[in-house]
Amino acid sequence: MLSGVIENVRGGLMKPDAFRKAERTRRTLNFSLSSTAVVEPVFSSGLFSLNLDCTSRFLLSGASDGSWYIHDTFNFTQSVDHEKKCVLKCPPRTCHTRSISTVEWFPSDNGAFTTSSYDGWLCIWDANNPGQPVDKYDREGPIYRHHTNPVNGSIIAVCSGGEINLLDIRVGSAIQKLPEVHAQMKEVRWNPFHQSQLMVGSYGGNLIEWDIRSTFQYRCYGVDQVRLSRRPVVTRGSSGITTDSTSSLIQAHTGSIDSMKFSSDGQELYTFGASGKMEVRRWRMGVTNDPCIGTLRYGKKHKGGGNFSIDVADNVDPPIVFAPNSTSVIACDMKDCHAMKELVGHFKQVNCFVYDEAYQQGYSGGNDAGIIVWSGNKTTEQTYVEEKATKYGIRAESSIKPKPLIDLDDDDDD
Amino acid sequence: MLDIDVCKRITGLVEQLSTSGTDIVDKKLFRELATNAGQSEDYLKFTLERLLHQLERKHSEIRLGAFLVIDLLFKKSEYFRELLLDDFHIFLELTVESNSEKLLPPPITAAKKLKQRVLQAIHKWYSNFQEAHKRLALSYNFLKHNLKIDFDDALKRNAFELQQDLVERQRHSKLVGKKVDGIKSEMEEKVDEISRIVTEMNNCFSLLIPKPGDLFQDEGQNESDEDESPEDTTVNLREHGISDPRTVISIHLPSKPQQVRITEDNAAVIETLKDHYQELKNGYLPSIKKWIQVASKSDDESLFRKVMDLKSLVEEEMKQFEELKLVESRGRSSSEDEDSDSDFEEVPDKEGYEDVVETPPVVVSKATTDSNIKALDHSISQPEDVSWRPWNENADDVKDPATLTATLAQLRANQAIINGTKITSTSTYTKGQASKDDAVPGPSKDSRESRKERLLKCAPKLPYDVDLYHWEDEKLTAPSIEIVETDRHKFWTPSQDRAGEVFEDPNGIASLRTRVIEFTGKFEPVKWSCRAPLRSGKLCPRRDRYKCPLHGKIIARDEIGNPVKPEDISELEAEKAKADAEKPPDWQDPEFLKDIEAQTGMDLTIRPPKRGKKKQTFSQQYPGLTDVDKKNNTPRSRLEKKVLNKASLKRVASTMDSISHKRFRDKFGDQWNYAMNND
Repeated sequence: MLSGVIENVRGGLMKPDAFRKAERTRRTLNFSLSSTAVVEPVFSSGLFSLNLDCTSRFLLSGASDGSWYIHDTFNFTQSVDHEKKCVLKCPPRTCHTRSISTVEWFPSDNGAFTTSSYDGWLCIWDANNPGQPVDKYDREGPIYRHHTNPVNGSIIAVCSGGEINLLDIRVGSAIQKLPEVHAQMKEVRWNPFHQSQLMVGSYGGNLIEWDIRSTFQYRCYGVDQVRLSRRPVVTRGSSGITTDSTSSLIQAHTGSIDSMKFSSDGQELYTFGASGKMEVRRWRMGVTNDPCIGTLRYGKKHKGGGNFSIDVADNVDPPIVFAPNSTSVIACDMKDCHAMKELVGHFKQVNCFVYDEAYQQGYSGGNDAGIIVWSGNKTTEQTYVEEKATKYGIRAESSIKPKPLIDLDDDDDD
Repeated sequence: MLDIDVCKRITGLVEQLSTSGTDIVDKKLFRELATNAGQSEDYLKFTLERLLHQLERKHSEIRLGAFLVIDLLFKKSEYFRELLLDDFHIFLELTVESNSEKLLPPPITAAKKLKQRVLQAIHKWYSNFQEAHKRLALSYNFLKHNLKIDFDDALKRNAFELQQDLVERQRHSKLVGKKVDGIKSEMEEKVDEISRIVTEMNNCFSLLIPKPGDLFQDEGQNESDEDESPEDTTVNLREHGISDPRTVISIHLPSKPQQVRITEDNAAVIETLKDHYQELKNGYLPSIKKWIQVASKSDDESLFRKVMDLKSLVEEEMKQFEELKLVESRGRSSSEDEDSDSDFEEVPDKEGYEDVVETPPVVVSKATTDSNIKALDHSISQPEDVSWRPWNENADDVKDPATLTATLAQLRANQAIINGTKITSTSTYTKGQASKDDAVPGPSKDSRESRKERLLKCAPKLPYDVDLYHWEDEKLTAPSIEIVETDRHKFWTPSQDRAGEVFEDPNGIASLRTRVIEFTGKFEPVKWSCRAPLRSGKLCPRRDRYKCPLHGKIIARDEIGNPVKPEDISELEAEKAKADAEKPPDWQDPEFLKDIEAQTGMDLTIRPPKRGKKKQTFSQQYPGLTDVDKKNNTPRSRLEKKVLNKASLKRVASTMDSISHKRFRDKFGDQWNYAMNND
């Protein structure tokens, strides 16, 4: 089938882009536990955050004991069957004292990365010199999430203690604090196309869009409307500080918003939250009404809360969101809004998933202290396994002669 | 498509294999399961589903059974491996506690075994199939690195445990052997002594109570004499006063041994008997019991039988002695009484202990024994014509500490102790006054006094109350009630402000004419006990009013506990007949049946007929498994079930409540705080 499609591409009947997309989609939809690759188990506790660098080569992971690890995902062993080795590890005694909430490579630079933790520190590390963090920022409260501006690469939005602060690493300190809006913030994400647009998610399920150039007003996203509101006026009088809220916030999720991801063109946003069950929503940006264009609920009863992160494969035909669901990962088709596949393999709760766009692979990390590789390139792997089998003569005839399902004859009872 | 019959067969086989309770999978059944499941991939899928369902049961032995089947299938089928590995996290959760919140179910020994067996199996699977199944390798690493399971240890432990088991068993058998040798030598020493004692005691018994057989022996000799001269028999009989040889004289021998009067002639024999009895009781019987314990652990059956024979011999002898009724002759000195073997000390009777118990009320009311009535009446000392009245001091029982009379009596007694002299002085004063009064009035007054006294005696006495206040008030108006707001709260006012409103009492005039008298009954101490004959020969000492918890209704009985009244007798007999009818026949002795079963292999036990379709108990359903839900059937739990059950607690509580309520109404009903709760 594949060869026929290739002929079409060669003959100019099919655009190469379309072919590429189709093949990507096929691989992504075929995700299953990789039968050839494993990630070297070096972790001592559960994983909360995963990130791939811009070259899709180095996998950064942050663990709940405050340490981080970098794995090389490229395979130089000259055999398909390989283990992804750990190349760098957090040196002892320099790591965070509490669990890491977010790890992130700098955009377009795989020599530096940032980690933030519940102990209130945001650290910037040099991957070539990991002995000490290059810079440290102390925020008073625990940091739930941070995100580096993918366009200019120097402003980091930090969500700590329910507030949003902007750090400029060129200045070396916090430059701005977003106004309080009567909600405890939990999740923050920059728009990859508009460098001043910042999306913020709260514990109460409010989704707020800020333009950091002018914070007098903000947009609050509800399921069927986008409300433009003025920021609350803070008055300091004799009876303490009172904030005047001009309008109440509307909810995007009924539970907390645990994770957000933009599509690569910045036109769509995917949020993962709770509303009794797990809930994934797809939003259109820059519209005034009906911003929510897709909702998917799945899983068992879920209170929300916890450190989860989803990832989006948006260069495939139905955009697919990979979202954790207790001990498995659900592949959600966000066009038709249904759960397409459940990726089973973890033994404890799954916290994070990262999708490798370049090589169509997935990595998931969970509380069982392991990263599982999901790959959809089944044909290659199967061919390899079969080749190996013929090579070593293990069940050489198995592919030729159909074997009985249960082999009762080899009574090799020991 | 799945065939329903095959699915049913698979389900049945899986159930049967997993609930066998053994460590080994039945090969025949497994082969059948494999042939059924191996028909297609769907059947194999279905089989795994059923197996996982069995694994989810809350019983570790079932899980172990299911795992053993899984293990076999895993080794034999590639497709099954793939299927199981897809659900491997569930499998691990159910077998090796990979989720620390879900622990393995009881029984604990089976759970431990299951965990160990699964770990060993996973290790084996890993070494065999890790190349082909990445997920297996991942799981293995998860177990090893995350759950910190030491597979080498699990493997080693199994071998080590087996060895240790063997050593322990050898040690145990050695120990038992040593003990058995010890008791064997001890027995050899003591057997002669015991048999000597037993023979001596037997001889003593035959001396004391000659058996009928002994008598016939003598007669037999006589008969042999008579046989020589058969013609003489009639003559002889006549000499003995028996005219007709066909006359049959039947002598009724009581089955129980007769009384033996201790005389000077047999004192020595009885003394020897007593000595031997004590020797057996204190010396040999305990040691025999010890031997039995040891012998029951050893494999030597002949030894056990020997000891049991010895025990039964000794016990028979002791029983015979115990049944002997020794009656002391009058001339016995008191010194011999003192050296009785009893270890108990003589203690004074407990306060309130009544040696002689009266016959129950049933007898009294029917007036079978008049003396009892009199005694009863005397003890209560209640004049017959006086009906019950409140504040009747006579009726108020002094024994009941809750009554006014009792309190007053106690106070008076106290006062008397404190100032005895004062009382005497006042008493003299009143006496003088009385004499003065006597002197003044004439004879007519005397008669009037007597009449008044007579009238007063029969006049009802009542404390002063509202009805007496209005006694002679002919024109009564119904009382009106005005609502008074006692707490005029500033903000908190009732929804309807009815303060100052006046309305008539709904009861009308009757509320001023009536008087409520609560009848509490009188305190009646229990004066009789159940007195049903017990197995020990004593009478049941349970004291209760109407019903003994063990022997039912309390009825009148004579000295030895037999019922006196004919209706009671007939009732008891009917009950007994009913119980006999329900009882299995005599030959249904469990030991006898066991013997029969051992010899012939037939179980002749008659079981009660099954009523309807009774739900099978766990142990009936799965005979190979241990019942984890079985409640321990102890006397305590059985008693608790009866005594502390909800209904009986409720009943007792309500009775007690109503009694105390009535009591309070009677005594303190006119007090304000009690008057408020007038329900």
